[in-house]
Order: sequence, then C-alpha cells, then structure tokens
Amino acid sequence: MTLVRKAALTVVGLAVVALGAAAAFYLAFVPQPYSADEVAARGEPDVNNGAYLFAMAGCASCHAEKGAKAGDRLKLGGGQSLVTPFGTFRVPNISPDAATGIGRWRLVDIVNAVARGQAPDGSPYYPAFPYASYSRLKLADAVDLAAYLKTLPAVSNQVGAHTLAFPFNLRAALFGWKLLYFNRFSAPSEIAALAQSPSDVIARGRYIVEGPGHCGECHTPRGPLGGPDLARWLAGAAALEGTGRVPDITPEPHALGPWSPDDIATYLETGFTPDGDVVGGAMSEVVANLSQLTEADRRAVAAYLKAIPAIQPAPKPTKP
Amino acid sequence: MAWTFKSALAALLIAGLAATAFGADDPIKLRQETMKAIGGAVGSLVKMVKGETPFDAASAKAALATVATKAQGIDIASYFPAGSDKGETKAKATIWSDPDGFKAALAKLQTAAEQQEAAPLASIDDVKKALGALGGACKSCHDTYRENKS
Ligand code: HEC
Ligand code: HEC
Ligand code: HEC
Repeated sequence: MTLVRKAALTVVGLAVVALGAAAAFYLAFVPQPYSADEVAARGEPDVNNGAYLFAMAGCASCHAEKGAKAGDRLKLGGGQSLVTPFGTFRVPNISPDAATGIGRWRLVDIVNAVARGQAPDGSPYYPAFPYASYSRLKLADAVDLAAYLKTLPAVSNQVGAHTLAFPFNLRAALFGWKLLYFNRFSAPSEIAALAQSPSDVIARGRYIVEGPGHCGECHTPRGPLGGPDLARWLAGAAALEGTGRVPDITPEPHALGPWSPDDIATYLETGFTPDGDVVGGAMSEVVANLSQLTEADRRAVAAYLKAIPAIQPAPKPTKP
Repeated sequence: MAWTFKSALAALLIAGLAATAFGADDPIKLRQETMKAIGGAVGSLVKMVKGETPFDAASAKAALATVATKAQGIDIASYFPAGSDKGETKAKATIWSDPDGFKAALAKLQTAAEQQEAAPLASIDDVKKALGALGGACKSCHDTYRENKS
C-alpha cells in the first residue's frame, strides 16, 4: 500500500520535474513575446514603412481573397483555404473589423502574433502562418507593419475553423513544435556564418529572404513534423499546398548557378527567367509583391542568393 | 493492275499512318519545342530591356513575329490531346478538366501576340510595353495550367 503510494508519488514528482524542465527549456529557447512597453518604445510608427513591409512579407497572398488584384489586396477578410498534408487551414480575418477581424487588438497583440506566433490569449499559432520567418523582423519593422494593418479597410467576414487531422488538431501540441523549430538556433550554420562577413548588401538580402520575404517557407524542404530541413536551405521542396515541387534556388549548376544577379533581380521584378520562361503558380504572387520593392532591395536578395551554399536538388520524383 | 492498286493503297495507308503518328506521336515534344521557341524570342527581348544587347527594332520585330506565329500555330487538339498529361510534361490536369478556361488563356496569348506584332516599335519603351502585355498572358496560363518548375 505505502509502497504503491510512494511509487505513485515518485511518478507524479518526476512528471512535475519533467514538466518544469520542459517549461524552463521553453522559456530559455523559444523567443518570448514582446511587452507593451517595448512596442511603445518605438514611438510613432512609420505607416509607410509598414506598407512596404506588407508587400515584402506577402500578407495579402494568404489573407486577401485568392487572386485578388490591386486595391482588393488590402481587404484582409481572410477565408482562403490552405490545403496541406496536415489538413485544411482557414486563413483568419485580420482586417480591423471589430466583430470578425482583429479591430480590438492592441499593437503589441499584432506584433506578437506575427513575430512570436502567439495569440493574445497566449496560445501558439500553427506554422502554416509563417511566423518562424517573421520572427526575424526587426521590432521597429514589426510595429510599423502592425500599425499599417490598422489603417486598412474593415471587412466583415466570419471565417470558419480549421479542419485538421489528429494530432495536428491539438493546438497545445504546438508548444512542442515551437520548442523544436521556433528557437534561437533555427538558422543553418553556414548561412549563419554569412552574417559574420557579409557586405551590407548581402546582410540586407539575408534579412529580406530569411525574415519578411519568408522564401524558406516554400523553397526549403520540411521534415515529417513540418519543421524546416536547414541542411537543405532553399534547395527545393515538395509544394506544401497542392501538387508539384518548388525549385532549388541555391547557386547550384541546375538551379540559379547560371543566373547572374541581374537575372535574379529581373525575375523578381517581372517574372521573366533568363531563357524567356515566365513565372507561374505560387511564385506569381511573390513576384507581384516583390515588384513593389526598390530595385536596391531586389538586388540585395539576388546577392544573398548568389552567396549561400550551393546544394544539389533532391532527385525529382517522376510524375505518375 | 490490281497489284499496283493494292501497293498504292498500302503506300497511302502507311503515309497516312506515318502522318498521324508524326502529329500525334509526341504532342509533348511538339508543345515544349513551341514554348521553347516562344521563350527564346521573348528572352531576346528581355535581354534588350536589360541592356545586355542593344535596342534593335528589326530584331525586336522579328522576335514579336515569332511569338505571334508560334502562338497562332498552337491547336489544342494536336498540341494538348487528351491523355498527353502522362510522361515528361509539366502540363497540368487542369488543362483537360477546364478546357474552356484553357482555351481562353490561349486566346489571350494569341490576341496579345497579334496586337504586339502590329504595334509601332520605335524605342526600348515599346519593347518594355510589349513584354508587359505578353508576360501577363504567359503568367496567367502558367499560373493555372502548368505544374511548378522544379
Ligand atoms: C502562407 C499564408 C500566410 C501568410 C503569408 C500570412 N499569414 Fe497570417 N495567418 C495564416 C494562417 C493559416 C493563420 C492562422 C494560424 C492559426 O490558426 O494557428 C494566420 C494568422 C494570423 C494572425 C492571427 C489572427 C487571429 O485571429 O488569431 C495574424 C494577426 C496574422 N496572421 C497576420 C499576418 C500578417 C501581418 C502577415 C504578413 C506579415 C501574414 N499574416 C502572413 C496564414 C498566413
Ligand atoms: C495557354 C497556356 C499557355 C500560355 C498562354 C503560355 N504557356 Fe508556356 N507553357 C504552357 C504549358 C502547359 C507548358 C508545359 C508544357 C509541357 O511540359 O508539356 C509551358 C511551358 C513553357 C516553357 C518551358 C518549355 C520546356 O519544356 O522547356 C517555356 C519556356 C514557356 N512555356 C514560355 C512561355 C512564354 C514566354 C509565354 C508567353 C509569351 C507562354 N509560355 C505562354 C502553357 C502556356
Ligand atoms: C508560396 C511559396 C513561395 C514563396 C514564399 C517563395 N517562392 Fe520562389 N518559387 C515558388 C514556386 C512554386 C516557384 C516555381 C515557379 C514556376 O513554376 O514558374 C518558385 C520559383 C522561384 C525562382 C525561379 C527558379 C527557377 O529556376 O525558375 C526564384 C529565383 C525564386 N522562386 C525566388 C524566391 C525568393 C527570393 C523568395 C522570397 C522573397 C521566394 N522565391 C519565395 C514558390 C515560392
């Protein structure tokens, strides 16, 4: 009797210790939310800079209506379905509508959603929202972006719930996901090494590609739990949504090796490849967004893509 | 007499078979070669706009004529026959599940190419304009009817 009780107590004790350790780990490794004071320290947000980041980060590609053009790209009523191997995500309404959007959120709430993957009630977001990349936003840029969202038109649209398979439907499991993949070490070492020696131009390109541009979310392959395979950074991946693949964009001979920086910058602006091919699919939206950036920023992205390690693409699966 | 008739018939039959075989043999290759030719012509215009080659009205005109002729030549029945989504191709199944949309996307390119071929071409800005118009038509078809490059 007492033995059983003792054993039970030990188990409970161990569990508490384990939970405590996990919590300590979580706090130590996962970037923690910004405080309202840190956000307020930015002072008066620069809404024009926010608009620029909005284009760079491609928020409209998911949060506006599918295929929306021009002014409609600023109506962020959500409702698109993202069909993935984990299930179907319904992209939420992030327009300033008080009832169905995020009109009641404070700036710090928006900043923490985008740059920390954390909802106002503290729960974690699914990585279908590419916040692991957005977490690399400078705080000032994140605040400006949040302030810009508040200037956009309110759209009344109640979006339904995600339909995800078990265990992906358990939001609490995302604490574990964040511990594994959303941490302070989530840049590949060679690419981290770029940060030591980079010219200002490459550093700027790195910020755009790894941060707001979230290029790795499509071009880097994922493991079974949806985390990025950093050893194959930008080396091409299965498309997360729909069929087909996303190409290798490292300076590998079969990828961007033969492209000059100028070729890359032109592609990002117009969609034309050096051999006269024209962009299609998910990259079309990216090009529509990047064409709004300055020429200097597109050249910075090109310089970074020429500076990263070349990686052989994975063997192509043949079409059935 | 009967013999010559028979052999003539056979020859005709064989020729006919060969002709169909040639046309239907490899629609995938046919359309890919056509797209490559269009891409080559468009690529030469892109080079001009980038300043890699000097502006030259005659060769720009020739490139636009190539695009127009090649685009006009695409006939869906022989370039995209049913069943030709199998093999080394990036053609997407949507071509056959949404034939009207695909037809419209092709018509859009044909119209744009014809207009650009006829438009005045006096400066590099005209080349830019032509590229913009063609590029939109290429993009909207590739967006929906072509598998991602990989
Ligand atoms: C690839 C698609 C995608 C892109 C790009 C994207 N989002 Fe989202 N976003 C989502 C999804 C999916 C969710 C829901 C996540 C969840 O429920 O866990 C979401 C959630 C959010 C939320 C929380 C909304 C709520 O009601 O809790 C905010 C705020 C947000 N996104 C803002 C942005 C901003 C700002 C950008 C651009 C910087 C952006 N998103 C880019 C897909 C995207
Ligand atoms: C009506 C639809 C449509 C339009 C319009 C269109 N394309 Fe294509 N294109 C395709 C399809 C489908 C493929 C894939 C063919 C295959 O792999 O069987 C393709 C493939 C290509 C390729 C790759 C060829 C290869 O196999 O190497 C190039 C280059 C290309 N297109 C250029 C262009 C350019 C430039 C334009 C505009 C001037 C254009 N396309 C307009 C449908 C279209
Ligand atoms: C939503 C997914 C997605 C995102 C985000 C994305 N890409 Fe792409 N990218 C693609 C797809 C899909 C293609 C293939 C396009 C095609 O089939 O024409 C592609 C193609 C490319 C190509 C051309 C490769 C070739 O060989 O033709 C380049 C260069 C490129 N992307 C760079 C970038 C950069 C830089 C970023 C970030 C600023 C980025 N991409 C973000 C999906 C994405």
